[in-house]
Order: sequence, then structure tokens, then C-alpha cells
Amino acid sequence: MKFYDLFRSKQPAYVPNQILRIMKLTIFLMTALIFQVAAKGHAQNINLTENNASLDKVFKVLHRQSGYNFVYTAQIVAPAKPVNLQLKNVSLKEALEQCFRDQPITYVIRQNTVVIQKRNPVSPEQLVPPIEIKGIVVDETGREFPGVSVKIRGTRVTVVTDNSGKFQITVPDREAVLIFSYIGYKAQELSVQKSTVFSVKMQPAENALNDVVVTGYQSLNKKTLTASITTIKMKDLESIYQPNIDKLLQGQVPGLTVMTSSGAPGAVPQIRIRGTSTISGNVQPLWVVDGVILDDAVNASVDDILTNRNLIASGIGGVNVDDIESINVLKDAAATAIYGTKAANGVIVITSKKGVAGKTRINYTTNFSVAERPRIEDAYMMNSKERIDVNMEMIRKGVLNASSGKAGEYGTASDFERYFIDVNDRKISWDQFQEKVKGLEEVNTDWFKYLFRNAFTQRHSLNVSGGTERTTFYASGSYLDDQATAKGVGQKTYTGSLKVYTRIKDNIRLGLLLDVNARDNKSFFATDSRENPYEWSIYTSRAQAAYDESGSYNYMYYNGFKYNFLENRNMGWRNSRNFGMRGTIDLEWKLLKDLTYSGLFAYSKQNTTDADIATENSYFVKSRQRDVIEIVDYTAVPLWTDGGYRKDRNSYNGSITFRNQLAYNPVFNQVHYLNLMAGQEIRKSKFDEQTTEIYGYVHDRGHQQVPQFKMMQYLGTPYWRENLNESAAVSYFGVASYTYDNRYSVSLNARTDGSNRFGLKTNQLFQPLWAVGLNYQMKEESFFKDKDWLSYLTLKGSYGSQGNVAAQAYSDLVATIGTLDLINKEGYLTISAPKNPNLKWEMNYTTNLALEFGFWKRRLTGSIEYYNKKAADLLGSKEVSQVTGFSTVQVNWASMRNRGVEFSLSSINIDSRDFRWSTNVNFGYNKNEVLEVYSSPTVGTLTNAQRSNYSAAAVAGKPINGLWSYRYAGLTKNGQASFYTEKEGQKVLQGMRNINGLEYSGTTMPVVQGGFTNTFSYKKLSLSALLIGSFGNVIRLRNLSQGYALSFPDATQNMSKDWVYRWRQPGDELNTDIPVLEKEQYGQDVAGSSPTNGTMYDNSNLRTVKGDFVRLQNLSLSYDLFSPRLRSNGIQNIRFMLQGNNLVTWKNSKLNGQDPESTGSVMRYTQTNSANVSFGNTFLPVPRTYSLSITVQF
Amino acid sequence: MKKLFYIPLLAALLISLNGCKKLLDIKPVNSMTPVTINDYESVLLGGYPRSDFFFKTELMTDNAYANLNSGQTPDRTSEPWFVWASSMLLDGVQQDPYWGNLYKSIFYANTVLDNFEKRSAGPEEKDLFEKVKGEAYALRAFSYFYLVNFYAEPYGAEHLQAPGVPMPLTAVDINATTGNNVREPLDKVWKQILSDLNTASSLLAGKQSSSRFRFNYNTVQLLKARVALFMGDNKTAAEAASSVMSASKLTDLNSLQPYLDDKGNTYAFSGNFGFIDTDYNKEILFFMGGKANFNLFYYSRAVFKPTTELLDLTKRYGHLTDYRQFIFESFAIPNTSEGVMTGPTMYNMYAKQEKDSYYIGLKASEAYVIRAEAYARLGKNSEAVLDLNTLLKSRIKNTQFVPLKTADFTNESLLKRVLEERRIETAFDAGLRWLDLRRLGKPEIVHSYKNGVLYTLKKNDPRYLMQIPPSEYNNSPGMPLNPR
Repeated sequence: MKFYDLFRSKQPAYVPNQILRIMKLTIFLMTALIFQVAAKGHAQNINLTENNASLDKVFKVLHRQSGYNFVYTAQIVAPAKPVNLQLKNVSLKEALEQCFRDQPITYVIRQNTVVIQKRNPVSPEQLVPPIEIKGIVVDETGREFPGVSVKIRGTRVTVVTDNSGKFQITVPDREAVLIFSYIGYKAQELSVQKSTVFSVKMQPAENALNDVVVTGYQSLNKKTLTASITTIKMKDLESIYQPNIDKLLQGQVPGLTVMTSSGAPGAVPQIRIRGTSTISGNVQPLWVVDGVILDDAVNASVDDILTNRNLIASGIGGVNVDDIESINVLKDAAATAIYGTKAANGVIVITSKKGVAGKTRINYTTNFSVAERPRIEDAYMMNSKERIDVNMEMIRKGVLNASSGKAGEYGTASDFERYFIDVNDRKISWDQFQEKVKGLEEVNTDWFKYLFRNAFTQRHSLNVSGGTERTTFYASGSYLDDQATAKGVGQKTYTGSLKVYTRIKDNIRLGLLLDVNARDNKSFFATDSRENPYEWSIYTSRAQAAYDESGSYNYMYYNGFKYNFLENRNMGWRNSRNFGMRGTIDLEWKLLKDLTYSGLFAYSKQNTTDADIATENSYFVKSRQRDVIEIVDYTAVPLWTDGGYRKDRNSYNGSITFRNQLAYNPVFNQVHYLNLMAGQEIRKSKFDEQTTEIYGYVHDRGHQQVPQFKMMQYLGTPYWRENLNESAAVSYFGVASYTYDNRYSVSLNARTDGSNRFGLKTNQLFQPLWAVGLNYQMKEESFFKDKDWLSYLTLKGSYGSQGNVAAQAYSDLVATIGTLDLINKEGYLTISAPKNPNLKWEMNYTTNLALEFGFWKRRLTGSIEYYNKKAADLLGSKEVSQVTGFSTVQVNWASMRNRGVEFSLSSINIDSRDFRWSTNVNFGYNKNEVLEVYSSPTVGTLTNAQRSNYSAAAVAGKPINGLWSYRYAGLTKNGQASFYTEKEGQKVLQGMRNINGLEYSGTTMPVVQGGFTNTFSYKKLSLSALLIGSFGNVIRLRNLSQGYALSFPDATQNMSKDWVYRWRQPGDELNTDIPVLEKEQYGQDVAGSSPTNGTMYDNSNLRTVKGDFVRLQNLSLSYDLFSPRLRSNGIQNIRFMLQGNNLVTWKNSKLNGQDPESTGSVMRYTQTNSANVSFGNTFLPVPRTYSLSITVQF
Repeated sequence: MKKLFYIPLLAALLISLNGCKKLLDIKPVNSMTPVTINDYESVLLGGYPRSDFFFKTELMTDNAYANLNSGQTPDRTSEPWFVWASSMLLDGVQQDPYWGNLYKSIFYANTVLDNFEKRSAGPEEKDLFEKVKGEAYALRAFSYFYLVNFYAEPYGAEHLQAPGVPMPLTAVDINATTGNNVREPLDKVWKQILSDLNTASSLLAGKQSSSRFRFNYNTVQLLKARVALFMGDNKTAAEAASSVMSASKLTDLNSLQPYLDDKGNTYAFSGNFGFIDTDYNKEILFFMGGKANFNLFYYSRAVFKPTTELLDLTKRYGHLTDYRQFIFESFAIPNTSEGVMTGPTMYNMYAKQEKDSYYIGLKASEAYVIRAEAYARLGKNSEAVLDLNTLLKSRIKNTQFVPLKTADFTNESLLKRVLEERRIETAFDAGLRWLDLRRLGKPEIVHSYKNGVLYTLKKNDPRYLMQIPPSEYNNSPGMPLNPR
């Protein structure tokens, strides 16, 4: 018998139609399945009845019954005759004997593999026995590497390493070559000739150019990519525990600015990709998960930080971080054009983990973390003694406004004022008063101690994945109990996810993805600053004890009510619940060799309910019950007599996406690579929110309502409201790219959207957006080809357009239903937008240039990128002649430019057997400039750091976030702050209304943001440190006034420590910039005209400081524990990680206790006789946290 | 090659999806594009003024004074009016709410008229169509009447070519009026007002009136009478007023007596009951300008109050003989600190609590004083006296009322008496006092204000014309401003 080498199928063909043969072969190879090695000791009893069956068919059955692997090619079995078999309870060997009787082929059994060979009757001595190969694969750290696929080159025969990284494979001869591969690692090819025992070390593919970049519509080869896309692999962020994706991105992507808004769980940070490029449109990037746009749960803007509302709003908050495989940040036009009008602010594409064929793997991670509570010492506020000193000054100046209507009644009073009133009422003597005041000086209450805690957060996450080559699955679940440092505030998040991919046929792959998530958020009921624990802790006098000697609540008086924050805190709360579900069906159908159809259908639904509850004894309810009255015949009659208050909001949000795509990727003559894709998409979404306000809600009596009809009538506003928004879009898109010889690539992207939105003629007009790009692989040129030091050198460029729809822009007449008028009840319409045929879409034109490089076998890689993004025809409201019937009209009125440079560099500094040190640095520089604008800004809008109306504050030549300040001119000899005006030498105390008198201070958005990571690993131990930095912006310090004059505080209010250094007597003006405390809050000389002295002082250059900071965001130490013994018990690895977040911040010393990421805060009071709920606006600081994580892999 | 079969299938699928345009037809809930006549009726209702566009002009008249002893400081936005500042807008304020509100009404009316120009109505809708169209014309005329009276010279032969106000008559393209507007000659504006009123009255004739917040045939006649009187066309004024008088009778205020006896004079009109909540309400033909309950004068400690001169006009027959005294009398006890702070006068037309009401726009008695004035000016003295007596009989206590006699009056004294009755009858209504002062020779007015400073509006003072707002001259740089 003679055996031919089966696997040398590359031998010259003797069939005339070579191509046809190759095609047939290919098809057969696809069908010749790779059967997996099943467990040993599998029953070998074969039962089989076949008539005239092909060997191929028989082998499949035998494989199934025996668990043995069959290795063969189409070529080998082609000459075999069909067989007739009648087998009952025979061994595999017997079965095979029957199969191969009178066949031109034979077989050899090696271990669990049956290798089919040609029978050569002429020279049986030449029979080459198949070779058994064994080996072990380890990763770069020397750890056993399960799941690596080992493939025999030229065949589809593949095995996968087991849990201890070991594999066995049978090859036909010594010519065979094995390919070891794993996603994210460099593939290795090893020839069998050398030995039969392999020890293979896999090397991670550092920024490998073979990487695939996912745009959400396509997976593109990085080597031919013309667009600007930054890819983050979650594997690289292993050393950071951060349950929120958005915060995780901080310091990782050049050009991506993350501004933390609050330390409250679930708070949405402000994210900008390459600056702000619209004035009135949407500024947030688009989030995409597995190709489907993720909507936010409720319509909350970034400004809703102030309302506590956005805590549960973010759609991304419901995605489990452990489920993410990679994140791609799409930045330029070439990358985002395919998303059309939604993508002008960039796109963040999340690709989730999928199952991998092989043994079922289980991963369990748990984290415990502790967040430190804020401390009053860090807040830079007065202590008791200093605060009492202010009170004594007020007494001396005769302005301590503490009096009582009758003895024993108090208005707004802390203990100090109460004692003072008691003296006046002769309830206590002056000596007793002095004694008590002395006691108060020592109180030094730390309100943080009572209202905050060291918060304990835990998280558990489990995922299971595995499958066969035909079907893979991934299932996961997680639970996060995230506590805020504020007591009683926290959020629980539950996620679950299931992903199954299966090949229905060999050319059809079907994916089913299901995600569910639920969030429960608990927070405080806050109507004004008085009910926000953070504001309370900072702004409440420390000379006031929280509890009295007997341990019961110590009350202060607030608007005539006995009030204790701790008591009131339990009388109101806010609960939000969110449930979201997302299902996707994903179909990929290879119609022809190079032609693929893919279809996607996704449905998502989110339901959010929130309830704000204030019980009947809460301050909110009591004060409104008292203040909302009707006067009947000169007597006050209360209108709200019973029960508390409850506000419910119920929002529903659902969307359907349906997409069809055809891709054609042929290769001609090995060098011409074409990639064509065209598609069509329908997206429909609906948002519905209903708000109900209930007056007279009794929580304790079974959640019932005692209707307060008179109150509702008095308010005259509806107690039920609905906000409904439906939108639909039909879009067409296409991509064409061509690569020559792996060297030159050009691409063209285009998309056009039609939407149901009013205006801009969208019903008729499809707005085309397009981009072109180039990619030049210089390494492929002959002059670089052999240079070993250069791994790759890429030059990229793109130019294209991005559109942005401003929701309020209409070109046709749009009317809204007028608010109900209780006097004239007839329904009417208000024209919200007049006919405005001139309106155009906002457009962005972006140029992008990038140079990417890798040296010394990618030990050093990096990229430099430059962009110029010009936004034209920006929509805004322009002040026009009122003869139009309107005071402002929407016009395309401004243009803006964002220019910037992004830089990233990663290097492996040391890579020895045991020790490895790698560094990663990236930063983005962005310069924003308003090019032209038609507006008339005022001093008020220009100096407001918490800006909402950008169109009133844009100035050509300056950034859109530019901030102006009044020019402080020193204290007068009376200790009052004075300011320069536009006239040389003139100084005023108030009323400077000429914008030429202002000084430009800088922008409030950072110009440079970056991150710097160092990772050291020694054997099983690794240490990683991430520093983030932000530079070039300015911050306003916390306000010292409440608007009007810089005057004495309210009775219960604490003051900034700055006031300790205030002007007290003539001459002090030479040494201090802190003014005198005015006697009168509304004094005519300082508060008679706008802007008042207090406003000017708070918004002056004196109170404006640089916001640069560097933060040690993350420091982590991890240890991997694995041993043969553990492995034999099924545990592959245990990873311990200790880490600290937000450990140290280096910032401007003038910021004294203020976080550089939060702009100044104003303490605001709300008039209680309007029942409107408005919230405080001081942000909960981002806490310092320490955490321990344990990950176990089975 | 079988697989090639799928390609046309897919292509067909893709093409069929082309027909998804229907998807884009979703209509939002809170907003809409008006289509039907009913929709446009709602648009027109949105155009009727729902916020104040005239009331502060009362501060410029001789009906208002400042009670400096009230202990209150006035709203800063009121001050410029009381002292006849060169512009009524505070420093830095670009938008004039009065100018803006009136042009807003015009924009709505024009929007309706533009659409109705292009459409015709079927037989069932014809009534509604004509009614809405007629109201739109009336609303436009009404708005231009106020604009031209606030911002331009009063009507008169010498001012016919003087600058009036910008006068858009269409709303097709918003961009047409955003800037470079032109003040049309006075004559042209008044002619337009007349023509719009005539069109309105022919369209509204015979139509059912639906509410007192909307114009109807009767109120258009009253407007016509008012406009004619202002233009010196006494004959037309008398005719139009007659038409109103035949449709709208006066309320005999003697019917208030039982109520007054019950409550007592002092407390009859305070708290939640205003003069307007009596039977007097029936005389009001048109409400406008939003909620009047918290107007400038309502509060007992308000700085600005009705003048005692006005109050005294109601005491012609003695204390509490004229029921209109109750509108202006504070009943505060003089020489007490309370009384000093409140002052002798109040404005009790509207309730201070509850019983919400819009401002008075047009009321029946205006027709009586219009006709009386027109007759007096035409020399028909006996007819004029007859009209005055009709009015007074319903205002004065039966026991005190003595009819006037024609013989007691000269032509001049009769006109003076008619105008005095007009002043009481229309005080604080619809901004009429300021408009009357302008047409009656722009007399000198003196206001005493903070620290006893006397501010004087001289006879024929240029400030009898309000200034064009910054929002206008910023965008229409060529527009002539009113001299100062």
C-alpha cells in the first residue's frame, strides 16, 4: 500500500478547469467539518444503517457516535465508492473496516483521530504513519493559555487548547505546519519537522495593524482604514475597576473630553469628542452597542445634573462593563458619515463579548469598594468661632436681624439668634447669653459626619461562554450595589445578557442577542439648596449642634419652622426605577464568495418611573401649606390642609431598527482589493413621559390621596402632563473603498437621511452627507520593506461632512397647543415657529490627517493626528425686529471651528522573562473658535460661568465656552470692592454694563486633556498607575454673595473661610481683597443697579482661577494565583486586585476645597409659596475610593 | 449558482423598502401644522392679546399719581412711564413688550388671512370661514390702531404724511420683516385700519357671537365708532355708536344697592369681589390683555394710585351718589398711618383674590360717550344731552339723579362735560385716557415723584409719542425715530 500525502493539495492540478476544482474544493472544505475531540472513554458502540451513502456522510455519523475526529479532505474521499452498511453494536474499528473494504483509501487511528489516507497497493512500505503532536501554550506572562486554536495549515483541522493550555493533534506527516492563533494575539506558525512536543508562548498583538475596527455597520481592517477611530480593548483596562463606561474612558482616548458632573451613582458626565460644534443642537456623542443606537432612558440633558434627574437617565448606564470586548471611538467625518445626521458629535461604538468555540468557560468577578466621605475640613468654610465672630460684628453694627413677633417665636434662627432673641425677650440674662455663645464657639459640627458615610459598594458579575464551531454562546449577569457617600443615596443595577451565534447553514450565520437591565435608584427629595445634603453640609453654620445633650434633634428655625435637617431628611425621598430590554437578530448570509448580505433587526424598550415624595410633616409640605393661602374677608384660609406631596414621572422609550446591507469584497490579481457596501435602514423611536403631581398624598395611610382641590385650583396648572415624541427615519448609506497592493487605500462614505421631524424640508429632502479618505501604508514600500526597526508607518487623511439637526429648527409653520387659560377657556394655538423657508441644516466639514507608527517590533507605537472641524450654518435664535411678530427667529447664523492635535504613544520599556514595564501616554489638544456670529452679548451672559444660552454669549474670535470677567480694581477705603469700567481709570461699585469693560478670562472647557499609564509586572504581580490631566480652562470660585451686595449671611448659613480675612477697618484694603460685609443686602450704593456689586465681585477676575489639574485617577496592584493543583480542581486562575481611585489631585491652591471638575456653586433659596420644585445645584464630589476585586476563571 | 437566485430577491426587498415614506408621516402630539379652517380659527385665537399691551400708559396720564407715603417701592419697570422717560424700556432692554405684542397679533391675523386667501370654503364651512376671516381683519385693525396711536402722531390733517408704523399685511416669509422695515405714512395706516374694519364688519354681519374674548359684529361697530371719532369723522362715529347702543344696553347700577347695604360701603369691593363682578359686567363687550387682577393699581399699598381729581369727578352730586365712586374710593381713614399709606384712592374694578378677569377692552358705555361727543361736536346739543342723561341715569343713585338740561350748556361747556363723563367712564379701560389726551390737544401734565421732584410733560411734548424700540432700530437702521 502506498499513501500519498493528503495535505499537499497545492500540487499542480491535472483537472483542466482549475478554478472550478478549487471552488469545489473550497466548498467541500467548508462542509468537511472539523469535529471536536470529545471526551475519552466515549462508548464505541456503533449503530448504523446506510444505503448507498457517501463516506462523507458516514464519517459524520461515526463522529457523532464515537466522538472520534475524522481528518480528511475532499480530494481524498473523492474516488471512494458509496457504501452500504448494516451495523449493530459494533466497535468503531469494525465499522471502519466495513467502510474501507474495497476502497481506494484507508485509515489510521491515532488517539481520538481517524486520519483518512490514500491506499497505495504498490509500495506499502512507504506508508508514513501519522504523527501525534502534543504541546502546551502559554501567554506572554507564562500562564497557561486555554482556548488557543491550533490549526493544521492548509486544512480546516483545528483543535483548541484545554484548560491547562495543553493540546494534542494528529498530523499526517512532518511537512505539516501548525498555526496557533487567538484573538488579540499574534498568530504563530510552527513546522512539525522540528519536534513532536511543542511549547508555545503567545505574544499579544500590540496595536496590530491586522486588528479589526468595528464601526457598527462594518468591521474594517485597520490597515486599510482611512478614518480616525481610536480602539480601546477592555483587556487593556483590566487594571481599572470602574463600573461606569463613561468614566472608564476618562484619560484613555485622545480628543475625548470627560467632565465628571457629580459623584452621585449613575450621574452622566459631560462627554465631548473634539470639542463643541453646535450652539443650539445636541452636543453629546452617539452611543452604539453592537450596531444599534442606544437611546437614553429619559430625555435628560447634561444641565439636568442640577435636577438630580439624570442619575438614571443614561442609556449606557445599563450596560455591564464586563460584557464589553472593545470600544471604538469614531471621530472624523470618514468614520461618522455613515451615521448621518446623528453623528456630528462623534460616535462611541461598543462591541460586546461573544462566545468562543471550545470548552465552556466561566468567569466570576466580585468587587468591594469603599468610598471616603467628604470632610468639612476640605470645604474651606468657617468654623464655629469664626462664624460667631461674624454674628458679634452684626450685633456691633446693629444689623443682627433677629427679632420675634412675640416672645418665643423665631423666624429664621440658629441657636445663636435664638439666644439673642431670648435676651431681648428677657428670657435669659446677658451673662447667660454670653455663656451660651461661648459654648457655641466650641460646637464645630461636622454636618458631613451626620449626612455622609464611608460608602460601601459591591459588585458581582458572572459570565459563561463556550460553544462549538457551529454555535457559540455567551451569557452573563451582574449585580451592582453602588452606594453614594451621602447617606440613603445609592443605586442598584442588575444586568443580564445572552448572545447566541449559530450557523444555520454553512453560509448563513444567525445571531440572537438579548440584554436586560434594571436599575433602582434612591436619592433625596430636594426642592432647594436647603434639602441637598451636600449643600447643607457646606453652607450650614457649624455653630449649631445636630443633636442636643439628651440626644434628640436640636432644632434651628427656618422661616418660622422648627427644622432639623436630619429629621427632615427622613420625611422625603426620591425613588427611581428603570427597566430596559434590548433584543437583536443579526443575520449574515454569504450569498457568493465575495458577496455578503447582512440584516439586523433590533428592538429596545425602556421604562422608567420616578417618584418624588415629601410626607406631610416635611419642611417642603409644611412651608407650602402655610404659605399658600387664600384671603377671605381678611382672614387667611389655608388651601392645602392635609397630606403630603408626590410627583410621579413615568417614561417609556422604545425603538425599532431594521437594517439591510450588502457587501461585496472581491480581490483581483492578489493586489486589487475592493470593498463595496450599500445598505438601507429604518429607525423608529418613541418617547412618552407622563408627569403627575399629587397634593394630599398620605404615604402612611396606604399611599392614598386626600385630594386638595382648592390648592390645585389655586395653582391653576394641570396636575397631569404628557410629553410625547415620536420620530422615524429612513436612511440609505454606502461605502466604497479600494486598496491596491496593501499599500494605497481610498474610501468614500455617504449617507442620506429622511426624517419625520418638522422643518428643514426633511419630508421632501434627503440630506446627503459624505466623506472621502486615504490610507498609505509606507512600510509596504520597497524602501522600508526590509527595515527591521520599522514595524509600520501609516499616513491617513480624510475630508467630509457631518450634519446636525437642531430639534427646534422648522421651515414650515408649526403651532403648539396653547397652555390652558382658566379665564378664557377656549383652546388656541401658539405659533412656535413661523414659516422660515431660508433655514438650512447645520453642517460640519472635517479634515483629518494622521500619522501612525510602530518601531522595533512594535515595542514603540503611536500616532499623531490633526483635525480641523468647521461647523457652518449653525442654527441659533437671532434677535430680530419685533415687527415679525417674534423677538427672535431661528437663523443659520454662526460658524465655528475646532482645531486640534491628538497624540498617543505606547511603549514596552522592559520586557524580560519575569519583568515587564509598559507605558501609555495620550493627550488631545482642542482649540475652539467662533468664526462668525450675529448676536449682541451682554455683560450678564458673558460673565455667567454656568451657561445655558450659548447663542447669547458667543463672540467671534473666541471659544464658544469663553468666559469674561469684571475687572477687579481693589477695595475702596470703605472696604467695598470696586471695578474698572470701559473708561480708562474709572472705577465703579456696580452697574458696569459695557462689555468693553470686561476682561476675557479664558475658556471653561479644558484645552488639553490627557492620560498617562504605567504598568509594571513581575511574574504574577502587576502594578498599574493612571494619571489624568486637564489643562487650559478657567474656573470660577464659589460665590461669596447671593447676587446683590456682599453682605452678612443668613442666620443659619455658614460662610467661606475667605471672609475671615475680610476688610474690617480702614487700612485693611492694603492687605486684603475680601470686602467689608455690607450692612444692607439691597443697599442702593452697591445693589441699586444691575449688575450689582456682589454679582460683579463673584464674576470678577479676582474670583477666576486656572482649572488645571492632574489626578492620580487609579493605582492598582494585582496578583494572579494559579497552580497545577488549582487547575486540576477546575480553577484556572484567581486574580486579586487592590486599587485606589481618585487618590491625589494636584490643583490650583486657590481652589481651596473646590473640585476642579465642578464649576462654582450658588446657594439658592426658593420662595416657598410657589409650589414649583427646583433643585439645588451643588455637585456631590467624586469620592476617593479603595477597592478589592477578585476574579475567578473556571 | 443557485445562490444567484437570491440576489434579485434581495434587490427586490431593498427596492420595496423604498416605499417607507409613509413611516415619516408621524405627527407629533404637542405641535402641528394647522390645516383646516378650525385649525386656523385656533391660530387666530392664539393671536388675540393675552398679556398686557396698554395698561402702563395709564401711568403717563392725569389719572395716576404716586403715593410716596405708601412705604413701597414701585416696580422698576413702571418708573420710566410715570416720569415720561425718553424710552419706556430699561437700560439694555431691547424688546418692547407692547410693540412686540401688537405685532404678534398682526402676525397671527396675517397668517390666517394668507391661508384664507388661497382657500375657499364649502357651504357648511362658509359661516365659520367668514367669521374667522372677519375676526382676523378686526384683530389686525385693532392692533394697528394701538400701534399708530402709541408710536406715531395723532390723526390730523397736519400729520397725514408723518411717519406711522411698519405695516406688514402678509406673513408668508418671516425674513421679509426681520429688518429694514419702513414706517408707512400715518394716513396709509389709518386708511388700512378703516378698510380692515369695513371688511370685518361685512364678513361678521349676521354671525353668531361666540365669546366676549373675540370680536363680533357689534364690537367691530364700536371699534369703528372709536376710530371714526379719533379721525374726526363724527357722523360715522355717531352712526356706528348708534348701532352698538341699539344692541347693548347699559346696566342700571342702582341694582347694586342691596349688595352695598348688605356688605357695607367700605368692604363691598375688596378681597374676592371687584366692581366688575357686579351686574356691571354685562356692559363689557370685549375682554383682552390677560389677567387684570394684579394690575399696577390693585394693591392697597401700591405706589401708583388713581388721582383724587378723578375720584372727585364722581362726587359731583355728593358723597356716594355716583356708583362709580366705588371703583376709585379707598375708604381709608385719613390721618391714620394706615390711611396715609393707603391714600384716598384705590382701583377696585377687579377682585384682589380669585374671580379672575381679563382687562376691559370694549364696553357698551363707550358707545354712549362716543355718540354724545360726536353729537356735541356736530352741534346736536340736545341729542348729546339726551345721551348723557341716559348714561347718568344708570350711574347715579335714583334719589339724587337730576337730568341735565340742554339750556344749561354752551357748546363748549357741553363738550367739556361730555369729555369729563368719558374720562370717568373709560378710566383705566383699554388705555383710552392716554389716547384721548393725545387727540385732545396734548395738554401739560405734572407728576410729583420721589423726593418731591416734579416731572412735567409739556403741552405738545414730543414725548406724547412713545419711542421706537431698540429691537427695531437695531434691525432697521434707516428708520426715523420719534423726536425728543
